[in-house]
Amino acid sequence: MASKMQLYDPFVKNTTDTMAMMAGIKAEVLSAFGSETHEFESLGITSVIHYTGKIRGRFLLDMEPGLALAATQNITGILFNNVRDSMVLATISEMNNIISGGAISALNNVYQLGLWLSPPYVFTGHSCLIALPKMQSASVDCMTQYGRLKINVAFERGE
Amino acid sequence: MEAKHLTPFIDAAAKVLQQYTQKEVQRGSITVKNNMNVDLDITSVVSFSGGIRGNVSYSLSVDTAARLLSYVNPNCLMKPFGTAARGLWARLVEEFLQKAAQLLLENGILIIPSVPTIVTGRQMIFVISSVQTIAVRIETLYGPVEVNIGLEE
Repeated sequence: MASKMQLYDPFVKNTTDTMAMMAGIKAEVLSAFGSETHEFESLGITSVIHYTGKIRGRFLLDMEPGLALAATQNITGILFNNVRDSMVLATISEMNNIISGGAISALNNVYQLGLWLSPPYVFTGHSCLIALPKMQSASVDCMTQYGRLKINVAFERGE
Repeated sequence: MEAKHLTPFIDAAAKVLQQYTQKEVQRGSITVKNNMNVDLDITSVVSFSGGIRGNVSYSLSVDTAARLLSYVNPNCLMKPFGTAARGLWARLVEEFLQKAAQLLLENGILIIPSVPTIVTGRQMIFVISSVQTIAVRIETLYGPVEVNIGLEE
């Protein structure tokens, strides 16, 4: 069985690659993975996707509003000024789907984990606090020219 | 979205809430949403895959949570939606999904639910489905619980 770090790495690589290829935005990884407490505050817009197979877990992509707006504008070619716009939410959700799909494929190819993705969901609001009882997670902070980005990954043993 | 795929998530929550509160609960009518604006403070989302794939969320206000959860476990009275209350709400939502999975399996549909994610905040907007979201309110003696279901078909 792979170590947790080996399981986390494809998510970071796919996030930085997807951000660069889809949105033309360079994301600089600021730190190594650090353990997260069971709850943390959203940076502004958050997308979550769950996966299940021989192990199960969750990938969370969290970013500041300015970054979400810039990424959506670069991908769609349309100017947006409100992260509550359905196109902005849909774009971040789809980015998460693409990132997770790539990461899960890589993990399945190397470790034969048989992972399947659930559909992503995305949310925004004021002072959003995210709690994931029962699951240990780890985060990496990234910086772009448009704002901060957090990559949070969690795994636990499947049934 | 077929009713046989939706109703287990609503029936399961109603049955579990009724069991814990020992009071009648009432289900409101089903509404279809294109945007999922949540005017309640606490939302718990669970994803599921298997025979059907999607997300389901259960939302309630801080006041409803305080009344409902402190009835179920008086320790939750000490701090409104603190760690104990969050843990209890997560456990209840897991029970909703276990029951829903059981009801779906009786119709030959196997689902594998995720661990719930709990989000608290104000003026939240969620997109849990790329198509439509079905919403139902379950009225309990302690306040309403809103169920939103988004299935990928």
